[in-house]
Amino acid sequence: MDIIDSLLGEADQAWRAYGVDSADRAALAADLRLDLRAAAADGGDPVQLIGGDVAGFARRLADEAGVRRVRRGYGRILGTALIGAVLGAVLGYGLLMAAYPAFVRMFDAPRSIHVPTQLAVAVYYGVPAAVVAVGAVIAVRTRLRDLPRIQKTARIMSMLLPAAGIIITPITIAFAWSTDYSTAPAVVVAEIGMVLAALAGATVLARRLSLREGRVASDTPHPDATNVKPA
Amino acid sequence: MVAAESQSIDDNDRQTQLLRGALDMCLLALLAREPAHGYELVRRMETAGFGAISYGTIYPLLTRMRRLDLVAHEQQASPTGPPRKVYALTRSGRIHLDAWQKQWNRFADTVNAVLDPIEHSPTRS
Repeated sequence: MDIIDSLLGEADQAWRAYGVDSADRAALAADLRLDLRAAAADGGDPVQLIGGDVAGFARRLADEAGVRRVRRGYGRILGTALIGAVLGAVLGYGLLMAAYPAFVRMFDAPRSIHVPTQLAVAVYYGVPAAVVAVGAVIAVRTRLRDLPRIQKTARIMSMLLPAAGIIITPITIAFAWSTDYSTAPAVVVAEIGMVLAALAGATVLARRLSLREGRVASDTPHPDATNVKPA
Repeated sequence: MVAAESQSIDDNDRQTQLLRGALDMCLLALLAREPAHGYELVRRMETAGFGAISYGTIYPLLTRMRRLDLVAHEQQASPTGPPRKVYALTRSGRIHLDAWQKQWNRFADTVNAVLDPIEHSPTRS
């Protein structure tokens, strides 16, 4: 990789962090690459030309080009989803306690009524898990209305969070089995971390997908901005 | 020594402020003489006497002028290197340059008229 590629890679990172979408990043990079190559052919050093603050240069360039920027808001979405999930967990725990006698009766049901154990377990743990996911989705949908495409994000979250839960559950159980179902703090923390990481990953993926589907109207327009014209 | 350094910093700041209002106009004027790519404009500005103006200042400004349709660029094959992205004035750029130039001349005349008596008036020590 030559020095221009390296600089463009650094600029691309800055544009990503700045919320510039991929098409505009590609257009900006293509233009800049041509100009830097011409400068280098005339004896200019690309590193010196851009200076030490490549990220600052990239942001300034994006502003001047009037490209569309989208606030991805990963941090806010994760934080809000976590709060919603915690509230959902509390509510789910309450439901579990309230429904516990009913489950006991199910297991003590007469032999003529057969309730598969797997079904009972799935319902027993599935209901609180669903409440946790619903809590996270509702929190994101209602508390972050200022973020673009947040409803789409919430819709995708409602599909990905259960999927992530279904995938991570056997993995976590396998991990617990490998530790002989240890209740040592480190093991329990690791298990909680695995579940949270899966849910966080699903949330971030939902956000990415919601922003990827179609171009998003800019929420940070440059004054009299138009789209940057691709080279 | 310290006073001299302070004076130099002050001069640079003032120069930057003055340039801020005139840089786009000067770039348009240079491009009106002859199309150029970004780095070439940096060199022309230096040759014109503006001192070292960074590429990091000029290239984003060119990008803005392109967005505003004041300049357009095209790729030109170069016999000695990669293809060049050369900027040139558009019709709109030419119109804006003429208007800005007249505005600048009026402004400069006004400033000169205000400053002129200073040369002849006594100062208090």
